[in-house]
Amino acid sequence: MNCSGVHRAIREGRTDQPPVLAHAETCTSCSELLAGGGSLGRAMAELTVTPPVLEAPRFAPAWAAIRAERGLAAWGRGLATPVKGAILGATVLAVLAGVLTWHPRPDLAAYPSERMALVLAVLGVLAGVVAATRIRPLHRPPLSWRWAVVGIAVVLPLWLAGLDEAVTGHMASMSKGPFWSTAVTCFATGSVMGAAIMALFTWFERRSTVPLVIVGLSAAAMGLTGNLAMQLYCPLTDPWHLMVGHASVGAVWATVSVGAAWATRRWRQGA
Amino acid sequence: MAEPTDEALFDAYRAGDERAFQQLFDRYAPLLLRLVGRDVRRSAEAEEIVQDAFLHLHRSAADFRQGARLRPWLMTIALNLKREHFRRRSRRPEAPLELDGRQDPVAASPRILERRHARTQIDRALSSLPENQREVIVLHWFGGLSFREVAGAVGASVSAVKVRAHRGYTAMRESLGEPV
Repeated sequence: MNCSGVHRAIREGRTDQPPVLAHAETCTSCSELLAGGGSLGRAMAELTVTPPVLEAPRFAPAWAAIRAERGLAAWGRGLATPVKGAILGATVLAVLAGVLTWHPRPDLAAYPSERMALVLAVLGVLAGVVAATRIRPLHRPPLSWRWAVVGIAVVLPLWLAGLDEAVTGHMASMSKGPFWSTAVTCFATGSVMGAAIMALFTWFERRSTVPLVIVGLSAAAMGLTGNLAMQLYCPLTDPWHLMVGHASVGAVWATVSVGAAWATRRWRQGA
Repeated sequence: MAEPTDEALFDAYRAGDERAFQQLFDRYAPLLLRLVGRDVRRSAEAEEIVQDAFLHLHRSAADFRQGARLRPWLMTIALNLKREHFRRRSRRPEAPLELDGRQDPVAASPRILERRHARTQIDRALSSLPENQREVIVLHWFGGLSFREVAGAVGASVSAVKVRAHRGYTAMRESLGEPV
């Protein structure tokens, strides 16, 4: 006999049967339910005597929503999670391939290859983890925040190391135009390069109401994709430029999108 | 004839049989409503979460693997939607919804009043547990999930959920005034 069998026996008042008692010998939870003459078990059984009343018309909106699940939007939402992951990965690779094909950074050959590998690996792993967390389906248990703290503690020093000024000796990496002009140009370019990821997240979303943390994760993944692309696109290596023009993509869009989502929610609640 | 399993019904639905989904709805909506209604006071909000869970089940159909059990799958969806509901409202789980009382007769006899009192007491004892213990007990006792399935639903090890259940039941006995 297992726990379900014991629960059934408690509900049916058959707690003195040998298999029930034998199970309770090995199961601490069931033994608690049966302890003291089984009063806790009987009390728990009281809670399940009458099922809640279900009125069909009140569930009509769910049926209407399910029947309305048609078309391209519904198809995107309904894709299996591994397929979504593959599409996201392929999109990031396509963006990077496009940059390398049409507009690679002029100092690519002179850029230290180990450093390039480190920066791409850190950003790539981070983007992968953020995207996987973002598309984690609701039939899986939530991730522990402890993992996020450990992840940030590991990745942050590596990422900061990547911001340290690289010396390539190439003219392009040393030429410094007006700071804000180049930073804003890179911010806009990075945003455009990450926009496809944001669009895919929106298309893939199954929830009716998206939690703010998920909105923030979408923007973070978009920013990381933009940063990956900018690493292959922009030759400037000034740390301040990298902070303001590149790293800001995720931070700014996360702030804007979470703020907009929060304000919309408040407005709807107030309306 | 034996009732079709949940998985057979879901497979039939995925093959285009809408009645199979209706059967799943009839089978699980009351149970989910009871599980969600334990923490969500407003019945309209609890119903909304249950409806969302079924809509989500429909949208997640492609993720359902052969050999998996539908019951813990659906309950995990409902549980996560409930968590998101509370996060959105920045609220903690509330006192339980009195769903069980709806069918009580209006003219209550002393015996009914006594049972109602006992029910309120055990309800309070369950509600006063820490969320991680209450969640495990609700899924195990009311949801009928095995400890292994509960562990999968809450994202903890089997031994951890067993400990939580044991501690929860012990605390409930204490709050009911039983010698532990």
